Amino acid sequence: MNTFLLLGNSAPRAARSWPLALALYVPSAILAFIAGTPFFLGLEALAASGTLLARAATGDVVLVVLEVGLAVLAAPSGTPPAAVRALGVGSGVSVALLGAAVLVQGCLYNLVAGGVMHSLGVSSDARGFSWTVARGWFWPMLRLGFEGVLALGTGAAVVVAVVAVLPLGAWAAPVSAVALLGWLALGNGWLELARAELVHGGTRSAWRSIGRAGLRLVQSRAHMGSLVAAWLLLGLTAVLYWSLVGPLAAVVPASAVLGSALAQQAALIGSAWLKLLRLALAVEVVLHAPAGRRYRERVRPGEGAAVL
Amino acid sequence: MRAVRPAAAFWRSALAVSVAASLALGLHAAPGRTAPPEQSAQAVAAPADVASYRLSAVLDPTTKQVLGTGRMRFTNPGERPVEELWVRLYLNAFRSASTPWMREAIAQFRGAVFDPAAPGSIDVTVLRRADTGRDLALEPMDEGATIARVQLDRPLDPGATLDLDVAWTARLPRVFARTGFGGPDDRFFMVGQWYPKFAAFDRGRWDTEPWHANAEFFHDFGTYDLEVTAPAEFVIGASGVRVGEDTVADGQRTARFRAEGVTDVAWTAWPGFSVVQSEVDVGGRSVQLEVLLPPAEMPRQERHVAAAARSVQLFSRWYGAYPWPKLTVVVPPPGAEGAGGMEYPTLVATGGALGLPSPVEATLRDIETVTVHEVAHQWFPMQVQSNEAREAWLDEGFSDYLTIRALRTLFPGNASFLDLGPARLDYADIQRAAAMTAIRQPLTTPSWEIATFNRYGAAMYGKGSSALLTLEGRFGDEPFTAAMRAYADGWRWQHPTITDFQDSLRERLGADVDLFFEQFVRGTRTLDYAVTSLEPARATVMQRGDGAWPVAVALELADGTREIRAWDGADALTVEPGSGGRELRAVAIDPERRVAIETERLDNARTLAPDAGPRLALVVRWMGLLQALLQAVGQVG
Repeated sequence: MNTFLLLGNSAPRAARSWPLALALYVPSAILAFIAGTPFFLGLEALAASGTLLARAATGDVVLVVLEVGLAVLAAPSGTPPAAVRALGVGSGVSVALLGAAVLVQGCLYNLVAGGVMHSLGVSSDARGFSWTVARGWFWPMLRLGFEGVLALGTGAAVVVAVVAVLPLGAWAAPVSAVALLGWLALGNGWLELARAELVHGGTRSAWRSIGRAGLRLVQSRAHMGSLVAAWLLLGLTAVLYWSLVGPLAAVVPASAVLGSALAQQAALIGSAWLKLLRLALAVEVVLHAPAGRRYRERVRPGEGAAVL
Repeated sequence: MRAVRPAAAFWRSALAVSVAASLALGLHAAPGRTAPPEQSAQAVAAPADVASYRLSAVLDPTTKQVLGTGRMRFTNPGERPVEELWVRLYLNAFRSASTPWMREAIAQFRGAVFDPAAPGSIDVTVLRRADTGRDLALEPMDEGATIARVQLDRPLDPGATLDLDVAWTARLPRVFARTGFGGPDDRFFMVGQWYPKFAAFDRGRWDTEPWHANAEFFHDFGTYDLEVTAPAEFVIGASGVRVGEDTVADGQRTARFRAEGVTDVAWTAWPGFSVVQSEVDVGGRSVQLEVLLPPAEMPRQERHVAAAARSVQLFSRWYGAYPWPKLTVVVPPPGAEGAGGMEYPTLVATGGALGLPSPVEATLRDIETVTVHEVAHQWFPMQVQSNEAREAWLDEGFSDYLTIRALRTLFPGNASFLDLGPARLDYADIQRAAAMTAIRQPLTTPSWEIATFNRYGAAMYGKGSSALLTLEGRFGDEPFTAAMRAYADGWRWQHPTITDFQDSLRERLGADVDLFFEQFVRGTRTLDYAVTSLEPARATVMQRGDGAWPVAVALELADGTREIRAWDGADALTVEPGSGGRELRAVAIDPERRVAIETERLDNARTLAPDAGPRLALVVRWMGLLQALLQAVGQVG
């Protein structure tokens, strides 16, 4: 199966199942709202100090941060003004909540991932997200996610270290960035394939699903080439998408906050759909790509049945 | 120099003598008698020669030594005979890690660490009167032998000239504190402070202060003829203009340069340089611009050239025409960055890009900031030669103020240093932030009395430039530029002090100048305006600092109208919206942010009707960022 056939089959699957993108999007929206609220509250006192926030909103963020820092520096006996204290508390809590939110988001993703994978793989009349199915896959998915983060992180460190020792001179930074993005695109693809193996390949073992994904990947050079190309293409698409949409999403004029917020959320839903497309690709591979001889030998008869 | 230094009241008693002597020589108009500055870039007159040199340097790239010979000429500019000469031997500061200079610097300079295996030194082997052939002795006058006295066998009368023949060996350190060798294969050489050099003789006295770690330089004007010999593959650049074609014989290249009306010469040699030549139009006169670049900087050559060319034009327009026929810009190669960020007459050493990813690099004015700053030194102090060590504000503070003005002109929109999407920053705000860490440091503090380089930088660069911005804000752009131009015109080719600068400003701007100088230049006072209460019927503003400086207070009324009230910035002031049922909605002190030395601005404004838009906009942006991060990080695999 070539790259374009893979993507050609996956895209309609993801398009038909587009509401599943909301399952990927909603947790991040809720968590961002929770984590951002203390920051909003912390800005209240500063809002009473005239045009400072207006300057920040129109591009002078660094300047306002500097002024806040100078206010702390100038504070007699080390006690900063009330507005700075409120901002400090609000920002601090917001950042702390962000740290917690990343963990929660990871758990929620692993909670919904099984349900999403299942829905992407079933026939059209049975399509739909099932919490029961999702809950049934939670622990295997969580283990896979945990191991996947370790593997991705280790791989990224290795990539950076290898690039660092190469005599690339001024090219070191761009080469490092490209290599890192490439690794993330491939590593993520492998883990997505492992998730699809988990749900549709008939095992509840995270490690085994990762191994099977690897076996499926190397079953033939042509197959591996197609899949790698597809992952890189999707990675490139995501980079291009955020290059185009990111700056637009970052611009939030004070006079059009609602419209900007809606545009921002639309961009994030689009990003969630790109993730859905990657998952659909993994499901497509597991369900329909021909398994090679080595793969068939390693997978015992009967293992292919879903265990729910 | 790019980073930072300070000063004190200086030789004030000799001011009258100096002015009289200067007038007699027809060198400049006395302060207070300057003609109104012309906002043009006409060429200015050259100075009288006091210290001139004919120098011949042979570079040995293997031993990292320069073998020098030459003739030093001193003309007594005073009104009394001179019985001794003082000579500076700067390289001796790097003789070991235990010299006084190194102890002050803790063997590091602007992040560069001294390499004790590659020290620097200067050994004078010949010092002889040219007229009699009599050898003279150098008597080191400080522990580090950075300055030495030469007792004359007979006094030198006022206006008389003495020639000394000299030979020396300069051992160059691994690039450290602006000078030395380094870069690829250790074959890049930036050769500064490399020859025996007369100390400055000003107002009837020698400047005998030893060289210090935070200190820069102070010298008399003169004419230099320089001859540099290096292996033929080396590209050579130097202060002044090249005289004739290079000659190549026996595998050695010899280049000749001449610089008139300068206080120093430096030179560089490296086989890897690419040379970019261009011409800059300065008020109808063409100035040659030569930029020496390492290969890695060639893709950015336009930025280097444009920064130098545009700043020469701007400063020529504001403070008088660039007076020399050529400017050389040297960009040190990787591994020799310590040679960058330094000014010499008609030659500046700048720096390359920081190596950030291209999209970010393109938004950061790192190249421009360093280049413009060093070019600004071609006016202060290369033309208006103040004592950089004793009164560094007149050197570094002025250059950073000029840099702020030029960058704002070249990159408007409060983004003169950084223009990265929602994050932009004016260079003035960086200096203001730095200033606040040394806001109580008098700008008259000599550089060697400031313990650390960071504090020196914060005071002389940060507070120094912010102080000038504050004066500009008080008196207005054009009047203050005219006053600075008058100061430059009045003291060009001279050795003014802070007192002279103050006198010059007072002449044009009035007595408020003294109020400022006593509090914030010589004194330790600070400013911190605050709106302490706001009601519809009245608002109260007060000064929380121990200084006072006039400032504007903007009132915004409930009907949308706006009024500006003047406040002396000293005593608390209660402002009322006036009769007719008018009500206040907001009040802001210094709404245009003209008082750059104010310590805290957050409490400068208050409103009864906060606009929710900016707050929501910031939060939506923050939440969007969090959400994108959560989607990216929280959906692995």
